Amino acid sequence: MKKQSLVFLSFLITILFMTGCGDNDVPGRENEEEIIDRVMLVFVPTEGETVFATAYDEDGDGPNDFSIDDIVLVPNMTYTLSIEGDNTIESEDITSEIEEEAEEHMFFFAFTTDMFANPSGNGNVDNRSDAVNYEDEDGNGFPLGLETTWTTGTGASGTFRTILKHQPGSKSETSGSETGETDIDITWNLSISIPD
Amino acid sequence: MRVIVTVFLIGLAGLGFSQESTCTKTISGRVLDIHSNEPLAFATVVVEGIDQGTTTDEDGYFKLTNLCEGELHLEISHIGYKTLVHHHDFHHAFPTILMAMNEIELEGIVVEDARDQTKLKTANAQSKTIQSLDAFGKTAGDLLQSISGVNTVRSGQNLVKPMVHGLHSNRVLIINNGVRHAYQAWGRDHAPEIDPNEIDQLRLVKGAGTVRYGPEALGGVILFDPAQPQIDQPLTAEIGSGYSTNGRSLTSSLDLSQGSHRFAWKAGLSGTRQGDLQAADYNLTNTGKREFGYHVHTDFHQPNYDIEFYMSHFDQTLGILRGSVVGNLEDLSNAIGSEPPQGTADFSYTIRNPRQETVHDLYKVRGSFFLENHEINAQYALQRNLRQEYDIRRGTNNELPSIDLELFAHTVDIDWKYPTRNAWDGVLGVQWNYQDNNNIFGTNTIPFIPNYNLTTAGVFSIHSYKKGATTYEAGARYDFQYLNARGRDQQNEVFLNELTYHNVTFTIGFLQELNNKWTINSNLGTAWRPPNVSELYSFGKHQFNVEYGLWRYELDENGDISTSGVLDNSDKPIKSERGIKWIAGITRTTANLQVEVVPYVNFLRHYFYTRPYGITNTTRGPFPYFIHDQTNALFTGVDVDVRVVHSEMLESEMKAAYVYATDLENDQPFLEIPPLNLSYAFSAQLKSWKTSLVSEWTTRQWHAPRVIAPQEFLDTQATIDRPGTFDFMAAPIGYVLLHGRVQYQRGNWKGLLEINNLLNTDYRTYTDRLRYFADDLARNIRLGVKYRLSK
Repeated sequence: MKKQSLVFLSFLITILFMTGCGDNDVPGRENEEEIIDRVMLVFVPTEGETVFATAYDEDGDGPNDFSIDDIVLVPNMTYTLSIEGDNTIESEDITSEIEEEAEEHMFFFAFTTDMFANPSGNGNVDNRSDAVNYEDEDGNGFPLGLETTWTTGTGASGTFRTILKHQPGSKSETSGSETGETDIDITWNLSISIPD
Repeated sequence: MRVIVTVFLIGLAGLGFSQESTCTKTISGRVLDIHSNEPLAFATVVVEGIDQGTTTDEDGYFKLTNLCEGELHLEISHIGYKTLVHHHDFHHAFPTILMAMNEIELEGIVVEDARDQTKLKTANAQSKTIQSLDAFGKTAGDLLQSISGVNTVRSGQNLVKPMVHGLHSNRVLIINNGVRHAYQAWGRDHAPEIDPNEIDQLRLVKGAGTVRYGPEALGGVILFDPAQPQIDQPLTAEIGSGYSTNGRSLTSSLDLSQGSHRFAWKAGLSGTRQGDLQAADYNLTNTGKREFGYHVHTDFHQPNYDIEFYMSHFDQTLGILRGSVVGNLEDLSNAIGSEPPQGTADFSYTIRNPRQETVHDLYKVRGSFFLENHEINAQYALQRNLRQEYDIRRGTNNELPSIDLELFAHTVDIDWKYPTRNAWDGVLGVQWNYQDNNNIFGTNTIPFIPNYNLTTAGVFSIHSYKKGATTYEAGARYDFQYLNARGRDQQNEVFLNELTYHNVTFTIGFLQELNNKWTINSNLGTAWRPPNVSELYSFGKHQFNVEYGLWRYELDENGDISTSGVLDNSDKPIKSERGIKWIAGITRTTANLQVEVVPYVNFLRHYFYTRPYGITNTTRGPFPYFIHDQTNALFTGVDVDVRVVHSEMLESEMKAAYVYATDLENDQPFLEIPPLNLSYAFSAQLKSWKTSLVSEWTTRQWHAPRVIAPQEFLDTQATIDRPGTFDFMAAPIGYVLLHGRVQYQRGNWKGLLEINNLLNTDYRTYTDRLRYFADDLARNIRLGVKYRLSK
């Protein structure tokens, strides 16, 4: 009996020592693919200079606010707007990911009422059926919004909000900005004025 | 440290193994009527094979002295009752024999004291036997809820964590099968991976159990015990099946057991498949689950020792409500206002993202050695815990988990219980625990918590002294903890750290029998826990908040925050959380009235919590952000339990639990503290049938933080009052639920019909994270059957 107990106890002690020294692995370097920290709007006019506006959140989920450019467009001009998203940490292009998953994504826009000659109104964030001129569509024929056209009015200043929704399985002819999860939601200052 | 442990072990090994055995053994126990719980006087207790016996006294107690063997068969008989034979051994000191009258269908049973003879006597331990059909379709956390003072904190019906007196996660220690359950305890939505179908006994220590069980037992200790293999038992098979209408879940189980005179084994297997659950007015899409578990348990039994092997495997896929996924505050605002939740679809068994997949394996070997009334228990256990969490992500990342962790844990427990001498009784023990936690590569996101190795070692000693009707108890413990963490910061740069903690805790208490009806007890105990890895290192968006761990932010003299680096103990020393809990019990036990009133006060210094600190604008929109910090906290309350036996057939049980929790430094309530809960159950027993009706009243939590609706952040009207905690939604209103139940037991058959939420009330639970998104469960009808085959 005594012998058995001692064998058992020494077995336990051995395990105790054996496992005392573990590995010291550092987690592998993952490609951080969750973050969109830079969003760029590219307004290409039918004639004249292209307008760029960038929102950049340098600290990502950190407590600092992001830097954002104001958008200045000229009056009575038609622009084609392309939206680009980046993950600067991994130099990853989010735009192409959105394109690949067009059936699950959609951009929505809101702006100061009647700031544009076309589309008129205040955009389709509050009401999906309101006018926005989408220039692209997904495989199901629903709009995507990476490319849109905008004709400015005579002059105004206000805000321009861009929302990208991820709507896996729920994007439809009627799904609005309240459907799905938000990937991008940025409100820009926009003025339409004759350059100095 | 390891040297001290080794010396201690060798010291133990040398003790008490050489004495001669003499005829000085005693057995005491009690005989009660199985139905009324009344003591049976003049019952005959005879030792089989030898000419020795006794009868019970007026209160049903008996004592056999001068026995030579510690292991024997007792035959208990009484006029009008079915005679019972009980195999007695040293594992179970005090058998309570419940005798059944000749005319009823039930067989008599013996309830033995828990195997754990080293429990705290004065810290209000309560135990509950799980009826085999109760667990079907439930979670381990659910099973605890019928004990007053226990609640659950949930993230939907599948992710259920037990909560004791307002505390949970790293503040409630979970011991599964005698082994400290190793899992990702830090996550509020990480339910313990324990197979509910395997649980036979639940024990809850409401006092601070650290001295006996180790760090983290600030709120209490929960012990889940499986059934033990029984020796001298024919080959028995038990097959069971259960169905729930809500979720259309099906559970099946098969258990086999057999015991010869020296060897017993038990094996079991069970599985559950559940589809989408339902609230009163809509489906809860993606709330299905799949579970599969098996276990093998053997016991090699000798008069002087006992060797036990155990292994179990439990595998879960747990769906999370589709409508609970939100990207920013506007989504949350939409979700709070939208009923049914977004993404609600027709019933399905399919589980999509978000979901959790977990696997838990446990291997254990345990030896108990019994010599001259010395008892030594030594146990080694290996656990492997895998956790994968799948979120809704872009593109092919949907197939990848965003959290993928593998945890290995080794635990060694050795305790020595010395024989009662001059009214002194006690136990000495050592515990050693080593955890190796690693992130599995391939998540395409920076790990939320670092890799770490954690070593904890403790030495404890608890002694009690009995004088007359009073038992005094005192104990102390020393713990050492070493943490080695390696992680990646938000720039993907490596950080490394090492941390050491030491701590001493104590417990002191008494238990006094005032007369044969009333007992009072009181216990004061300290407990502690070091910060966990998520409290130190978490960074970024988690669900709908942004949070920074203690070592991921710095505040300058103006209170401005910076999160550029990863700190360590030299930059910002972090104190362990320390608790002191006083708990008392006033108990009346008579045949027709049982009363238990348990008040408690728990004061926690350096309590870890998160507090809002500001609002950050991101490309996803604005978010309030929270920092991990420490404060002083007070948790106080009372549990009341009253059971009245009206007649042979009828009985009532009333329960009440109230906890008041407050942040003493900032004079404010905490989030998700369970509100006042009252319940009344009425049951009737008629031959093989037992029916009961339960009404349960949960009030609103009035002592709740202020509300800032997410829309206020969007309209930039909200301001963050820095220490001031808040909630996105008001605490749900109070509600009353009715449940009904019919149980049947006859011969080899057992049946259960249960209806939960009989009136199909729609309600939300304050401690459920899904309260923001959807109503709680609608009516559920549960049917279960078990059949026992014995050779």
